[in-house]
Amino acid sequence: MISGLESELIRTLSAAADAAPDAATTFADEVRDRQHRRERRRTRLVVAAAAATVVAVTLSVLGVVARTTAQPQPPGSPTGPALAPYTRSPRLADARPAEQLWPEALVTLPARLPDGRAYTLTTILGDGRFLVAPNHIVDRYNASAEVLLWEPDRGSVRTVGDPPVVPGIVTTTMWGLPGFGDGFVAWIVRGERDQSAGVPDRGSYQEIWAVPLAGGAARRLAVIEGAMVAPMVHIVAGQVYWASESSYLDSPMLFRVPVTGGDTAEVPGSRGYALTPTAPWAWTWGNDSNRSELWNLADGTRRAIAHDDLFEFECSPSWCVGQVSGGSRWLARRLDGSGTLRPDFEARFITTANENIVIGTRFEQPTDSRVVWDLRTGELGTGPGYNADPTTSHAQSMLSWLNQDGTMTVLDPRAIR
Amino acid sequence: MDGDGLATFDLFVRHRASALLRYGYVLTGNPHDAADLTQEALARLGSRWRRVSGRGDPEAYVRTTMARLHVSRWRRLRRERLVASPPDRGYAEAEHARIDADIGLWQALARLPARQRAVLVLRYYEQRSDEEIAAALGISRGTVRSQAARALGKLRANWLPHSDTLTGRTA
Repeated sequence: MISGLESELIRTLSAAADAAPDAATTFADEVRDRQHRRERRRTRLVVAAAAATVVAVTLSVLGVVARTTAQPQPPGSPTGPALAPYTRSPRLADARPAEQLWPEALVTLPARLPDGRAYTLTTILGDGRFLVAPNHIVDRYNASAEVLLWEPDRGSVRTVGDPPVVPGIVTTTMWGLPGFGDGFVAWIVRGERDQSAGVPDRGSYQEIWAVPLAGGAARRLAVIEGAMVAPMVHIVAGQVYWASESSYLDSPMLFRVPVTGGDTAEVPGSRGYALTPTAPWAWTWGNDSNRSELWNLADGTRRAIAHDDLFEFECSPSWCVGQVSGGSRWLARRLDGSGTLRPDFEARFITTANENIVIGTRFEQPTDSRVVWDLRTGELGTGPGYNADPTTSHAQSMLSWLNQDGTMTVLDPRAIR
Repeated sequence: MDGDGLATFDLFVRHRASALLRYGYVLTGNPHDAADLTQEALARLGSRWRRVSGRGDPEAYVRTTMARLHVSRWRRLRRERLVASPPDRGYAEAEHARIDADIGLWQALARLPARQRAVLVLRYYEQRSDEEIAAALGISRGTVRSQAARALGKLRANWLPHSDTLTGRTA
């Protein structure tokens, strides 16, 4: 017997489908064009990989990005250094609380800022210093665009950067993971457009910001309109890197701008690459590409990924986690396809800023739960239940949970040694 | 693709485009993403047309591709967030004015993670069994059940108060 909600769901989905626009008369032609572009792109990728040709790209949707193809491409090498030896497949029965396994990677913070606001922890700087973004007043689940330097032990909170909202934008939020390096912090500000009548919608709106952590004015480095930016930035050798993210058709590609300001440019040869959580690496998003590799943006080295049988996966500079086509269980293995590790439980894993640590989500009732897996040692740590409280931090930089006493505990994968 | 293959693929696209767009619309919640998703899945089908059509059910292939593409893309865009809010909420609400359905429920659907939404669409729009949904999304049957239960729980929490307000019904 189905419930009233399920009956209403059937009716609503059916009614919504009936209201969907019919296929345009040009639809079949557009499919054929798209198919041809896909096939040409696949061919181009092969040629580009062989000849290190700079792929020409269309930047019409990225209005402010300057076109350049003159910059030298980092030298490439097909393989990386030897990887750590793999260990054993983890068993859930052997899991221990993460705080017992990795006490050195834990910090405990007040769950609220001194002024009472909830916040998103973005970066652990060390020496009791943290970068945080106060959560948005009107959209409490998202961080505001403001970055604060917080030193709880000293009771000190300092605004590092507070990007102003520009005309035509009604709210701004921090988009994804800030980058930290070379004494700077860089982050993406995403703007929600004014939807009032008469205001033309020009698509998504993002800005790239950076500020020296020691003090100084925050600087808006770039504005990206009409195309999505993937929610992550890295600072590498004085440059802020980010990746475009547009549609099912378009592959991502990388852009960069000097952290102190200057011209924004495509990164030559970066079509098909996105940033990994582990700086300074980028990688080819495997599902759409007939090549797959990691690319070190600092020294230009490359590491090939063996991925033929994986449907959905992601990779750190040492490991891949993913799902074999036709299977339901996720596994981990080294980049070259060797050393497969199969957990004895079902979970989806994501890579983190530590190339040897992945975080898994187990789907359980009544709430999902988290596990932290050290691929080098095989140790499995149990994390907190899925926690929707706005104080939680970005999943791929750290894992946090609220304690009964009102404090928040944070596990920083980068601190697991 | 040879001439015959091209002609039969083209015929398939022309005959099934509208039905697939409707499916794309309930998966994504807006017509632009629906068209993008449907065209991409059809383009991928076109690249494998001879092999897939030879197995006899190209529509099942393209619908599975659409579901997986949609979940995968959403995950890619939103994976850094523990808590997601739909980026195109305003647009989806404006579109909904044309739909003779429960606006509160449609809005609540827009707030679900893509995989939970896909599970509900496959179960309540496509009328597929949990086993078929598991195969389509590459997850276990237990995960289908748990994701559906979580999604329905969220809908109950998010939908009823809104629908009371918008429709005047009592719970």
